Amino acid sequence: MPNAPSLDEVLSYFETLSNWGRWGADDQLGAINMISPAKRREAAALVTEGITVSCAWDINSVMAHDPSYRRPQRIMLGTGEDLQDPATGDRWGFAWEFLGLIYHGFAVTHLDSLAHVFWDKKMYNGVPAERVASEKGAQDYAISVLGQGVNSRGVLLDVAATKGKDWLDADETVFPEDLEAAERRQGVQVSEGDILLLRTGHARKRRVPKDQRGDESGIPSWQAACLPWLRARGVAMIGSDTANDVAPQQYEGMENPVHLVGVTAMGLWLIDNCDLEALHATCEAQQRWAFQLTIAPLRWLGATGCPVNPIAVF
Amino acid sequence: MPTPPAESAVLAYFEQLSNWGRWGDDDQLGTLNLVTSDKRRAAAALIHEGVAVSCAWDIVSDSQPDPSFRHPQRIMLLTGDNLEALHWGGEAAFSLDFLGAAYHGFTITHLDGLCHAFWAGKMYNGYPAAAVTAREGATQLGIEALQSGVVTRGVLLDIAALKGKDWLEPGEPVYPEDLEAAEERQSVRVEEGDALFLRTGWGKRKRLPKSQRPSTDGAYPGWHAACLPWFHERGIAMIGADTGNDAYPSGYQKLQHPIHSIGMVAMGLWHIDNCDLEELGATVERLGRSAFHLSLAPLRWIGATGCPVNPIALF
Repeated sequence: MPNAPSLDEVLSYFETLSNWGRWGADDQLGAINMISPAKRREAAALVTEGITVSCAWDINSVMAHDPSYRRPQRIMLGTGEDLQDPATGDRWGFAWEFLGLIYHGFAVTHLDSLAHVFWDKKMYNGVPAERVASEKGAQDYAISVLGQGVNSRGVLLDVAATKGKDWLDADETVFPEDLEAAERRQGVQVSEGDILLLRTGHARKRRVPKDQRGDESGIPSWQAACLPWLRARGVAMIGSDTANDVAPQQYEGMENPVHLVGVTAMGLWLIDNCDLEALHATCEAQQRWAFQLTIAPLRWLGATGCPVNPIAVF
Repeated sequence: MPTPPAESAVLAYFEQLSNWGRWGDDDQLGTLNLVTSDKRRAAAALIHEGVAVSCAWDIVSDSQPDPSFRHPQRIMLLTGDNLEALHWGGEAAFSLDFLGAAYHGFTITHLDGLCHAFWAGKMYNGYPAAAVTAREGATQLGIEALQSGVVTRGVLLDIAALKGKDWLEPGEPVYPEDLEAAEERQSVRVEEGDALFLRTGWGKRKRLPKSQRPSTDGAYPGWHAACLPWFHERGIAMIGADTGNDAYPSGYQKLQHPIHSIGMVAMGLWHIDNCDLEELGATVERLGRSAFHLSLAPLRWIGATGCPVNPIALF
C-alpha cells in the first residue's frame, strides 16, 4: 500500500492545490469552469447506444434511511382516497403532496455546493463563511449557480473490480495508484473537465442483508493523496458510492479532507452517496467506462446543495 | 380563429385517444414509451455548439410566489454566521439545510407524474385513483417510473413570436393550426417521441413588476383541448409550457383542465408545468434551430406524484 501523506502534507494542500483567484475573484463555479463547450460536444459523441442509466438511490420516505438526518418527508395533501362525492358531478381530481428532506448526510444521492464546506471560517475563493446565513441561506455558491445544469464526460473508475472485490474493506482507502490501475484495466484516461465516479462497491454492500455485510465499522473512499491527482488531471466533479471521505477519520483535526480541501481550496464539486451498481453493470456489458453524464440540480436559491439523479447516457 | 370542438366531442377523446393497454396492462410510462434508443441517439447528434439552457425558474423561498400552494421551504440548520456556537469547534465546519415544497401549482417548474390526474375515479391505464393513498403515496404511476431520466429530442414552438406578441392574452388558447403555422415559420416538424414545448411569452410577462401586469383572475394561455388529437397523431412523448399547460379557463364546464385530464388519464402524456422558456426562445432565435437535446432527471422519490425539475436543453 502506498504511503499516506502526513497531516502537515495534507494541510499544505490548502495552499498548493488552491484554485482561489484562478477563474476570477467573483467566480462561483470552481472546477466546473473546466467543462468547455468542446467537452460537452465530446460527451455527446459518446452516445452511441441511446441507453440511460441512473446513478442515484431511490428516496424512500417509509424506511428509516439515515438516522443522523431523519427521514425524507412525503406529506400527501390530495389523494385518490378522498375524491369529492360523485354526487357533485365532478369527475376530475388531482393528487399532490409536499416533498421535503435534509439531503446532506450518508443516504440520499446529492450534490454538495461550494457553500457546504468551511475551513478557517472561509469558503472557496476566500469568501467568508458568514455569507451562508440563517435567513438568506447561501448568498454565494448556492446550488442555483449550476442553474444551466452540468453536462460533461463521465468516467467510472471501478476500484472494487480492479481489486477483484465485491466491495472494498470497511476502512480501505483509495490511492492515486489504485485510480491509475483502474485506468489501465479499463483502457480509459481521466482528462480535464471529466466528472469522475469512484466505485468502491459500497452500494452492493448496502443491498445485502445486514448479517452478510461483514465489517461495517468504516466507509471506504478516496485517500487524501488523491487530491493532488484530481487537480493535476483537471477533474471538474467527483462522485462516489460513499460520501467521498473515509471513515474512521485518518487526520486528527482535519476530518473529511476531500470535502475540506476539495471544496474549499479547489472548488471541486462532490456528489455523495451515488448508487453505481447499474452503471457498473452497463460499463462491463459495453466494455467502456466513459459516457455522457448529466446532472440538473434544482435552481433553489440559497441552498447548500441538492438531491440529484445523475444520468449516464451511453 | 378555429372553431373549438363541442364539449361532447372533447369528452369523446377519453375513448378515441386512449392509450390504455397500448403498452401493456401494467405499463407505467405512457407516452414515454415513444422515446426509443434511436431517438436518444438522434437527440445527441443535435449537440453542435455545446451550449446548455435551463427551462426552469429559480425556486425562491423568501418571497410569495404562489399563494395557493405556499412558500417553498429552505430551512437553514447549520450556517457560517454562527460558527462559534457550533459544538465541534476547530477549523472545519459545514452548512446544512432542509428543502421542501408543495411543488404542484402555478409557480415551480415541475413534472407531473401520471398519477397526478384522476378522471371518474381512474388514472392512466385504468389504475384506480385509490392507489394513491395518504400513507403510501402513489403505489402506481409514481414519479419513480422515470428513474432513469428522460433524454429525447426537444422542440420549441414559439406561438408568441408567431403571433407577433410579447405574450398571449390571459385565457388565450393555442390551436393545432397555430402549432402548424409555427412549424412552418420555424422550419421544423414535430415527430414521434419529441418533448414539445409551447412558448406563450408568459415567462416574459411574469418578469414585469406586479404593477405592470394586472391580475388575470387565474386565467392564463395554454394548449386548447383541440391539440389533444394532434398530440396523439404526432406521437408526442411529453409536453411543457411556460404556463400550467391547459389554457384556463378551458371553455368547457365539465372539463376544467382537459389537457391534464385527457392527456394524463387517457393518453398517459407527461406534462412539465411552469417552464421558463425565455432563454430557450432567445437561443432558438439566435441559432436558427428549433430542435435540441433535452434531458430531465426527476428525483427517484418513491410514491411521489411528480417532482420539481430543471429541464436542460443542449444545442
